[in-house]
Amino acid sequence: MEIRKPMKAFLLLSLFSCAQKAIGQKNYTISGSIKSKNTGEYIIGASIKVLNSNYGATSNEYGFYSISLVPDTYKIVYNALGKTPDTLSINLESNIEKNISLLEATNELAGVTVSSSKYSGRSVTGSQVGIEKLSVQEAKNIPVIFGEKDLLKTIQLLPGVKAAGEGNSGIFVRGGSTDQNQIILDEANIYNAAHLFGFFSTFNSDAIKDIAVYKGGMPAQYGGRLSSVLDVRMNEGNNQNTSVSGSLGLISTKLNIEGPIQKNKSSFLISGRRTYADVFLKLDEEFKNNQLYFYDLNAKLNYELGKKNKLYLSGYFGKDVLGFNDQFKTNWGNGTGTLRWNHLFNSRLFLNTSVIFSNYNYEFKVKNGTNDIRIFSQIRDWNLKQDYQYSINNQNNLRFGWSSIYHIIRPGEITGNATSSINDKIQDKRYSFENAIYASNVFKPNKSVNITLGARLSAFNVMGGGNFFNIDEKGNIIDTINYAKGAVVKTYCNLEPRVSIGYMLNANRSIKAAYTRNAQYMHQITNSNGSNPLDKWASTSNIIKPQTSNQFSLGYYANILLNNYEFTAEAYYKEMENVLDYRNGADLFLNETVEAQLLFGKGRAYGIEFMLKKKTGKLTGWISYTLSKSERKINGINNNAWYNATQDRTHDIAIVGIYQLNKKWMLSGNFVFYTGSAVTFPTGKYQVNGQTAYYYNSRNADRMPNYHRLDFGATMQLKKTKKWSKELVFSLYNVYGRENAFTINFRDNKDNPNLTEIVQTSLFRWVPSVSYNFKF
Amino acid sequence: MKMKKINSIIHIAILVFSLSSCEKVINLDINAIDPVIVVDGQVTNSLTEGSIVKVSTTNKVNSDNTIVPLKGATVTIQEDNGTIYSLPEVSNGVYRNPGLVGISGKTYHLKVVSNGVTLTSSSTMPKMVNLDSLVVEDFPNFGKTIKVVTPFYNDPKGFGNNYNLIMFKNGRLIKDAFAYDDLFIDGKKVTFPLIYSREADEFKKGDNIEVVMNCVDYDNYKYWFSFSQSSTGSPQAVPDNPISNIKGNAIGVFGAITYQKRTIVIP
Repeated sequence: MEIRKPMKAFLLLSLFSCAQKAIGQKNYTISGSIKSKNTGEYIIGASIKVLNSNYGATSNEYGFYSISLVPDTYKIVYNALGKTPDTLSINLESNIEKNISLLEATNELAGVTVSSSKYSGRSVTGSQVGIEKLSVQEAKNIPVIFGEKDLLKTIQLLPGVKAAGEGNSGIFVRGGSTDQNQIILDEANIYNAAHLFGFFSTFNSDAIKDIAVYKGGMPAQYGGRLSSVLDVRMNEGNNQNTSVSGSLGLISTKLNIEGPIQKNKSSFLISGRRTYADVFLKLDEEFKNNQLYFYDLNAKLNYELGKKNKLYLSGYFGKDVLGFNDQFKTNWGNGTGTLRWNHLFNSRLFLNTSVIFSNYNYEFKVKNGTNDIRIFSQIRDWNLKQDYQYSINNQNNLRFGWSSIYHIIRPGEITGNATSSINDKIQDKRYSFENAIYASNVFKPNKSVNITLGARLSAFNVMGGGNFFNIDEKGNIIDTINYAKGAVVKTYCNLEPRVSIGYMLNANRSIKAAYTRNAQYMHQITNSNGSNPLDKWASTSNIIKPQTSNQFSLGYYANILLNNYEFTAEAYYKEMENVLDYRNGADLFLNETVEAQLLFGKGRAYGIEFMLKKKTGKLTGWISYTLSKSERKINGINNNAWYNATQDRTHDIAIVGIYQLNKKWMLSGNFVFYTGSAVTFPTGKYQVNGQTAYYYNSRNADRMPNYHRLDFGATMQLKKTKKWSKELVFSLYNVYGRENAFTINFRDNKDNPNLTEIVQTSLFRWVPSVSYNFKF
Repeated sequence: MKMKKINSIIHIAILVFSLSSCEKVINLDINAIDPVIVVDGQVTNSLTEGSIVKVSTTNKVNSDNTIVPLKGATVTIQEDNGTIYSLPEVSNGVYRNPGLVGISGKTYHLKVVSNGVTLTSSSTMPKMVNLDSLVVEDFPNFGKTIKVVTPFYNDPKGFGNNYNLIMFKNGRLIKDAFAYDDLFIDGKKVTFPLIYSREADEFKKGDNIEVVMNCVDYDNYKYWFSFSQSSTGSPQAVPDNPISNIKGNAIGVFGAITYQKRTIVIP
């Protein structure tokens, strides 16, 4: 039990005191949902501003809002990204329901002013720190490699979020590793969000509504990962008109169909994407037996059951298939399903109940002479959770709930054919429960102060059914203990306080501070050279302890120059416990248990992030700069001394510009620069048994060359009528053809094996692309 | 079939996919460190191979690959608690005693003394497993078929057999390490092809391929396995030093190993 008693007492007291204040005040509620008039889609994060008071609200993940006020006459402005604001005058004498439908802000209405960038995760108001939000609309004009729109790649242009590598959709957030990001699609965990070794994310941008990235100050309803939460929400489907949209690109074809099942009441959405590189491969005699493709299928159904209930059913299925003749075949993919039920008890109390299924597995088949060997691994989750949102009064908003996940992991299964030299080995399944309860209250005592006090209590039960091990210092198994199915092997608990405070210096400037503790029970083990789809997920066990982190953040936020610009700065310090890495000489596949292959240690990361954003006008965009450090100290690596984490990059700059030239042309560009990742170069070499070996004495003490790149994009609107819209999107990746280092290796010179040569491999130079998008 | 192989496959697939990938030789400023002593020693059961210990030091990365011998060391090997054999320096940094022929089941204790530094190690010679035969097979390798050589041997039932294989083409060492334990092959007929990683090593008709199979103890297996995972300078390797069984301020490996050699000509 790692509960810190004083902290717990403090939190309970705080929650209680907030509730106390609620009593005795007469409040009425304005509540309802906010939709798009054109599509009927609920709008997440729409702002509800009460003009002649201090109060406001934002719509939740399901478009619902609720705001409690003392009786008076109010003027309320409803606003959302890319929508025309709506203003209502309300005489509040009793609880009122106001469902709002906002019109699309078309170019005709707004001239050529781009208003989309007005919406941003960062906000002067409230107490939330460390958040970035991105909508598909906002991301669609920013050039990406192969013209394949990808929210995870666009997010890398924001401060504190770093690309895992060239053209890669994987991210490092505030010095954390890739498995410390919780990536959820309609609440379902996506255990591997990458296609094709990370060049593309699993998120087909046609099916996605928006994405929120929490880098710090995670609200209490989230938990389970140390470094970030990426909350990705799928579109619901147009409940007004049936529409078809799609695109033909360099890499993939996409098709999206959505429409009402029963107008205003129910709708569906089906969105698919498939790459076709393999079609070209088939043309070539040499490659014709190779396979190389991935696909995604997103589907969603939603149904309104009267005024108080809504049902959503959403699913995702994606798969990668890669094969080279008979040599090897591999496939991996995620499948998720989410059933959600929104229930409105009354105008103040909203409940969402979710049943979630998530599955990830990979299979790798390799032919080794007469040995056909198959490696398989799987992780599967069943999750039930309830989330209550209660608008207590005009000063307090409470959110509370619980979640229970049942994890089943098949850590590794190796089987061979009849002629193989391998004895089949099926590692015991691992079963576990990950449970949590949480509560968080947003307290707004006056105009300038906003306090969020919350906590999450998480518990993890390692369940029996199979063999557990005791391991000595060298990683040898010294003892095997069998636990019956259903027996509890070990239980871990963590209290995770989530506290943040916002203070408005004046109407346009604020400071915020936050403290967050996170616990992580599922771990993906990657080796120091980065991740690949065969990286294993392991659950916390008797040997693997939960990873925990404490993060402190401090931020300054300002709207400047008549609200046309936004300047924000955030500093953070994060410490991590029980982070893991592979032991030297670990055998990642042929082992009795992965636990014997691991080393444990701690990490620390700190930095400061700046962002200046231009939100209005013909030219919009931002400049972001991050100065940061990330280090690890793992027993058994680098003589147990602190060393730079692989993702440690001192400087990280991104400049993004979008220029609306005229009604027909939209131009965009982005530039990125970052310090080369930390790597280990040999400091000597020697001969043993006739082989050249390299000597290393200090982990990650060297640097890859600095990375920089410029990309251009242009969107040409071909035709736009009420029914039809067509556009061509051009992009050029790496405009000046910089040879950025992907790997640097040391080897014997081919012509003179007595000499060593250092070889740099770079991937993409000048990648042009064009895609054609349509909608009718 | 090891992790490195799988990682290589993935790595190559990335390069194939990116089409436009390019390689260039670069110059890097490499920090030089003080030389470290390297011990590379073995006691074999072969009358022709005898026992040999090479003592050298690390060199700068940008120097050539010639070995930097450590001359004038005193090298001895004791068999169990019995005879102490001394290994005289037969050439620079090479210490050898053809009279020391190892016996399975006995433990050999190495002692190297040089300039006041003492290095020790021990290794037990395992039972010899017979290398039955070599076969030449076709192997698909990214759109092309190459010839590979597969050694056949029967792993005895019961865990604890470890193997290290070394391959020569026309008398020249193929610089790849092939180390196996028997965790997954216990009691099976072993038929893993020895897949070489360098294109320049590709086998052609008429090539004379020699395969040396050493049965080694677990520490030697660990050394050669971690060697293949970490010290090769390749982009998939985890940059670390192999797990050494040398005690004292040195790196390297000492093994009491069985020695068998077979030869095949590529048809």
